[in-house]
Amino acid sequence: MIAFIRQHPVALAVAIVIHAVFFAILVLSFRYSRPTTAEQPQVEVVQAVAVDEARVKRELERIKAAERRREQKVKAMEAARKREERRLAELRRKREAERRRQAELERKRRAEKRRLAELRRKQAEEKKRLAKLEAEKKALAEKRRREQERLAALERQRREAERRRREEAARARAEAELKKKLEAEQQRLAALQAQQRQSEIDRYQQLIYAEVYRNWTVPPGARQGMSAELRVRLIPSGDVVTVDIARSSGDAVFDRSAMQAVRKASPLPVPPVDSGLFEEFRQINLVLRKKET
Amino acid sequence: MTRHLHIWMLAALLAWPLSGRATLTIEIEKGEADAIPIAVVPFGWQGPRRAPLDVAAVVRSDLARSGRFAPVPVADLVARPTTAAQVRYPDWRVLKVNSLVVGRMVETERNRFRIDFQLLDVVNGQQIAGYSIRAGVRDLRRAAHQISDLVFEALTGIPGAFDTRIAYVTVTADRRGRKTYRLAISDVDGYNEQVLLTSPNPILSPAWAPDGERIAYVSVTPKGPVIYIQNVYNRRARKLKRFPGLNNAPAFSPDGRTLAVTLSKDGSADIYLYDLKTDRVTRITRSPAIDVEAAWLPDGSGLVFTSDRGGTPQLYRIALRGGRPAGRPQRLTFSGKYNARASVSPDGRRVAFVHDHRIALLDLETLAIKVLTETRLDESPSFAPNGDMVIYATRDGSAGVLAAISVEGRAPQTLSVTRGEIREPAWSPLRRRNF
Repeated sequence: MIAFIRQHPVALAVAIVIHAVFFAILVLSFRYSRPTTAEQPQVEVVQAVAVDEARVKRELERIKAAERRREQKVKAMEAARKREERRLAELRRKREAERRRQAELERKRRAEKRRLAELRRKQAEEKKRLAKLEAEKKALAEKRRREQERLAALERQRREAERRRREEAARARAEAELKKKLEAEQQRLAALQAQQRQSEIDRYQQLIYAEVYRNWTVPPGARQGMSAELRVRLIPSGDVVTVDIARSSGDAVFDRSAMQAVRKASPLPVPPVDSGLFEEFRQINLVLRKKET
Repeated sequence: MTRHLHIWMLAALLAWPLSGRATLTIEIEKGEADAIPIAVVPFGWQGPRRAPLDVAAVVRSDLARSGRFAPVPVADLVARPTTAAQVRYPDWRVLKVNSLVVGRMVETERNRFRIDFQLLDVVNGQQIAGYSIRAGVRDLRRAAHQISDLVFEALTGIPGAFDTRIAYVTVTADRRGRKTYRLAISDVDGYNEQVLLTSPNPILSPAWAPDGERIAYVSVTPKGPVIYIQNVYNRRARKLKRFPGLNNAPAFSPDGRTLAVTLSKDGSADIYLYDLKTDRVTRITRSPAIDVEAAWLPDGSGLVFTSDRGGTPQLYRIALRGGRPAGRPQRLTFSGKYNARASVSPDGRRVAFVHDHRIALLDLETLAIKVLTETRLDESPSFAPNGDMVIYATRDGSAGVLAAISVEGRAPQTLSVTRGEIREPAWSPLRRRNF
C-alpha cells in the first residue's frame, strides 16, 4: 500500500482533495437546512387573561411594538429570504458547476481509475509476466541445478567408477603381487623344506658321525690316510642289520675296527619313519679314515 | 630360471630316494687311537694241582702296560667262558668291550702244558684268532707274552713286543763301597732276569744284535774301554780289537755284520764302522769335535749320532754308501742345550733321544720334537722293536730305575726292578716264535 502510494503521489493528492471537497459540501449543506425550517410561520396563541388597563395599555403598547418589530422582522426576514434565495440560486449554480466539475472529476476519476485499473492490470500482467519469468527462471535454474546435479552425479559415478577401476586394478595388482609372493613363498618353502630336509639329513649324518666316531677305536698300527668304506643297512630302529666292506683298507685289523665301530654304535641315530627321511638312511655308506695326527 | 632350478631341485630331491645311486656317505676321520676295551677272561685249568701261572693275568697286565688297551678288571667280568662256544656275545656287548680273550690250559703231562685261546670280536660276534701253544713250566710266562703279542697285533696292526727282552746294567755296592757291575737281561715285564756278566769293571752301553742272540757292550778295564760281544744263550763272549783311547758305544748294523763305534784313536772322538769279519775300522766322521753314540737307520743308509761340533751336544745324521760316508753330516736338532743318545725307531721315521734330560721323539722328516716324559733325569732311551714304546733309565728318588712310556706319551710306567741301580736299558729285537 505504502509502496503503491509512493509510486503514485498524484493519485493520493487527488484523492485527498476529492475527499476534502466532499466534506466541505457536507458541512455547508447541513448549515443551510436550518433556515429552511425557520420559514414555517409561527402561530401565536393569545391568552385572555384579565389584567389592569395600564398594564393592558402597556401591554397593548408592547404588543403593538412587538407587532411592529415582528413586521419589521418579517420584512427583514423577507429580505433575508430573498438574499437567501439568491444565495441559494447562486449556490445551486455553484452546485451545478460543482456537480459538473464533480462529474468531470468523476469522469476523470473514472478515467483515472480505469487508467489505474489498466495500470494495475498491466502491472498485474507485468507481475504475472515477471512471476512467470521468475518461475521460468526458477525452473531454468532448477533445471540447471538438476542438470548440474545430474552432471555431478554422473561425475561422481564416473569418479566412483574410476576409483573402483583403480581399486580393482590395484586389487588385481595386489592380488598378482600376492600370488607372485605366494608362489615365491611356496618356492621358498619348498626350497626351505628341501633345505630343512637336507639339514635334518645333515643333522642325522652328524649324529651318526659322532656315534661311530665315539665307538671307533682306530688301530694304532693304521697308517695315516688309511680308509675303509662300509655299506651299512639299517632298520627304522637304527639297528644295524648288516655291515659289509664296500672297499677294504687292505688291512684286516683296520677293516675290523671299522666294522666294530659301526656295530658298536648300533642302534644308530636315524630320523623317525614318519619324517619320511629314514629311507635316506636305510642304506648308508660309511668311510672311516685314519687322520693324520 | 631360478624357478626352473627350484623345480629341478625339488624333482631331484623327490627322485633321490628312488634313484638308489646317491647313497648317503658319511666320512669319519679319526686320528687319536683310544685304548681298546678288552676283556681277558681267566683261563680254564685242567690239571692235578693248581695252575702254575695265571696266564690271563699276565696277558691283561701286558696289554694294560702297552697303553693301547683298557682291560676290564676281572671283578667286572660278566661271565667266565673258557671257549668261544660258551660266549654269549650280547653279555659282553653290555660291557662295551670290543674284544674278548678266552682260553684254557691243560697239563698234558707233568710240567708240560697246552694253552688254547681264542680272540673274539664281541661286536661282530666272531672269532678273530685262535691258537694252541705248548709250553714247559719255565716257558709259561713267555707263552703268556706270546698270547699278548698275538692279541696286540690282531687288534692294533702293530706287532706285539711283549715276548721280548731288555738288556741292562745293574750296579751294586758292598759294605766297603766296592761296586759290582752286572750285565743282565729280563723279560720286558722285569721277570726272568738272567745275569750274563758280573764284573768289578764298569759295564757300559749294551746293544742287541739284530738276531737277538748277541749283545755288544763296553767293559771299562783298567787299561781302557774294550768292546765285547756276548752270546746270550751260551754266554760266550768275543773281545773286539781294541784301539787307543775310546772304544765305546757299539751299535750293530741292521745286517749284523758291522758295528758302529766311537773311537778316539785319531785324536778326537769320532764315529767308525767296525767290520766284525775283518776287525777293520772305517772312519765315518772327521771333525775335531766329539762325535759319539751312533745309531743305525734301520735300512742301513745312515747313522744318527751326537756331536758337539756346534758348541753343544746335538744330533746329526750322516748318510752311508757302501760302508763309507756319503756327504756331510746334517744337523737334526736345534732346540735345547743337550740332545744326545739317539735310538732310531724300527720304521726309521723317528728318533728317541735325551732332550735336556727328558726323553723326546724327533720326527726325522719334519725335525719336530715331541717331549714324552715329564721327569728330569731320564737317560738312555731305547725303542721297543715294534716302535710303540720307549724304555729308558731314570731316577726314582736316589735309585736308578727303568721306565717305559708309549710313543704317544701314554702309560708311563716304572718296570719292576731287581736290587741296586739299573742303567742303560736296551730293548731286544722281536723274537722268533717258538711254537
